Amino acid sequence: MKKSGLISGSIFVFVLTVFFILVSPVFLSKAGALAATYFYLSRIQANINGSSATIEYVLAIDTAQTIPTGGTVTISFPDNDDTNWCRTAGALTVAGLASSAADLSATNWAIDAVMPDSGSSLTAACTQGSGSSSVDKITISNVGALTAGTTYGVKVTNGSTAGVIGTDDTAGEHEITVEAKNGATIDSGTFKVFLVSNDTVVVSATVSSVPSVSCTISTNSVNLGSLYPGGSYSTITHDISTSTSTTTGGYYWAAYGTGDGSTDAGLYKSTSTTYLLPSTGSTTIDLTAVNAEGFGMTVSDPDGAGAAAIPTDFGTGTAGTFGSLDMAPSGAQLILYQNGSQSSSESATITYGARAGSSAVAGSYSESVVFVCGGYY
Amino acid sequence: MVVTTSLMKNIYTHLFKGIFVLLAFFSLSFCFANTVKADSISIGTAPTSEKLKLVPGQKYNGELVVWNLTPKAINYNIVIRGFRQIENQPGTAILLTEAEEAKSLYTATTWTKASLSSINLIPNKNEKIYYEINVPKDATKGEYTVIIAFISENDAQLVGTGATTTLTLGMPILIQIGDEFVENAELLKFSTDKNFYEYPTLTFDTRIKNLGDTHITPVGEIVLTNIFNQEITRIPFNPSNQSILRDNTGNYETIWNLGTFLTKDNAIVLGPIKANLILTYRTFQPGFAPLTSEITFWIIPWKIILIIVTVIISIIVIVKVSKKKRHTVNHPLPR
Repeated sequence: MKKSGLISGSIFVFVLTVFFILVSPVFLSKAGALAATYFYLSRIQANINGSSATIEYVLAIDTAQTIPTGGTVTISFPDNDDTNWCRTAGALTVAGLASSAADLSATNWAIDAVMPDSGSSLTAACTQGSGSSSVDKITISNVGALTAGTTYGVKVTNGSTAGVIGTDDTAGEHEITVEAKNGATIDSGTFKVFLVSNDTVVVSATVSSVPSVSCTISTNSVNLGSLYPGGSYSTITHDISTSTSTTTGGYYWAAYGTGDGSTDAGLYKSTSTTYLLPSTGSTTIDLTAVNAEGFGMTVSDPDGAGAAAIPTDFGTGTAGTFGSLDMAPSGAQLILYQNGSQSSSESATITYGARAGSSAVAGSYSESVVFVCGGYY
Repeated sequence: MVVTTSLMKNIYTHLFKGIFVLLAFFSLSFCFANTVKADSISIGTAPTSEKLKLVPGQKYNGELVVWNLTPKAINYNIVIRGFRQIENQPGTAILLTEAEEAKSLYTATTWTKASLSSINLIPNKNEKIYYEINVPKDATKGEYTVIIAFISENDAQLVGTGATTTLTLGMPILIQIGDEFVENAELLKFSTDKNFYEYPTLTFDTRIKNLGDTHITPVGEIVLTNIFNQEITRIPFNPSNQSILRDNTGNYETIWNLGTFLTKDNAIVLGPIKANLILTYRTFQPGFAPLTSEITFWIIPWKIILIIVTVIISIIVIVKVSKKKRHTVNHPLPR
């Protein structure tokens, strides 16, 4: 009886086992790793509380297999960080994202498409962990089909009413798990993010109230081209421009020439036979007069009836009449000045005029004109 | 032999031709324009000047900042020397020549040293230049001047006929040694360029001579009143605070441009206008030594007056003529 009981018991256990194998439902798990993923935080500072300082999460995922439509994407935070990533549980604002600042172009870590919805709009909510084995978690629902090989982007921010997200209160590494799931089809990935104690660099500068002036000459040389002995005069121009700070009382320009170094300023042929087309420094020179010879300069008024002024000699307004430059610093003459600041750059045109008399010697002539610029003291 | 002679003749002919071409080229070089590589020159500075009060034996350290707004680096030589005003323009400065420097008793050139003697200013970068002023222990009371000037180096090679340009910009420093200075000035001129103006747009010319031993900065106003003694306006004098160096004269231009014949306070701006200049220049008790002057000028919009008079006369004439015509028409003809 004992033996037969043992046999029958064994048969019962065997049959029961076979029955369960045959009858019980089949659980086929298709779990895999995400092909690519990144989690971008708009702030990487620890203890962002979501109210006085807010944060955006950007998630980009590329699944290794197609996750059917209607699934979820979850972001789980470390168990030790409870209530820090999800500061207030509740609905969050979620939106598909076509690109983000963290995209690495031409790699899988670049968003290809916004995360699709399943026909119903994407929703997101965060839940807080409490104690061991319960973690802060963000769940994005109504996710459309996620195709392998496509990187989808989604952005999560504070909800309009309830949900508030932040960062953990401890700087350093924090392990995060992202899971894309629909039923048994699951792709997941785990990685770490690093929080710093302070992610803000304060750049400070003081705009000085000290008076300043900037002076520019448009060229360091001009060529008068052809001068014909006994012919007419030639001209060439360049610009001078000035700007000052608003605290500067005004600016001035002066000029003088070098000439032959002893007699006068003017265009000088320094090689044998030497010759000077003079600029005597005395008032003006009329190069239209019969047999006139010499060198001079005019300055245009940069602002018409404005504050800038040109001394009469250098702003005659008569064609062929030029202001006469004097020689050496001792002969420096004002050519342009303004009482009052000039906050935007203002330009004046310098026109040089030169004429060779019939007795002028052939050759190259030159003059070195020195411009002096400054702000009033 | 004949062949050799002919060959020699040929060589000489070619030689002469070559020399002729070369001579022609050189003689015509005067007439040809040659292209030169030209670059712009720029420099800015802050501050634009310094006014210091130091004591004998004192060391002063200062700095200035310079910059270059062109796209190319430029070399500047840094020169420390005394300075003077340019012509009679107050607030301006130009380096003294070495000869002038040698004669000048009040330059602080030997006291002043800069951290650099030249600088390559790269584009759009602020460069600090430090300077030190060591006032000698035996320095006598007075105002001393020195300028830290930047003079551009010009490497442009002019081949034809033309001009090269050099840019000089400096920071003048006025150093007062001691406490008590003689501040004295004389008003040499206060005038307008004309006595009659068509519109209230004119310039007042003022010339002041500094007779003291320190710089002065005259400030004040020009008060304008009309024929009814109503105040038209008060024009600030020297709002940019331009200073006159010791032993120098300063010309000031004050522009007045009202643009209307009636002020906001309904004061009429026609006829004789009185201009009162009231200036002060002393730093201590300035009100005790004002400079004052009064001139009168006229504003007569003669074109407008002429048009109005012409219109009135025309109306009178038209009215009289039409009255006369009417009178003539109504008069019964004799039978």
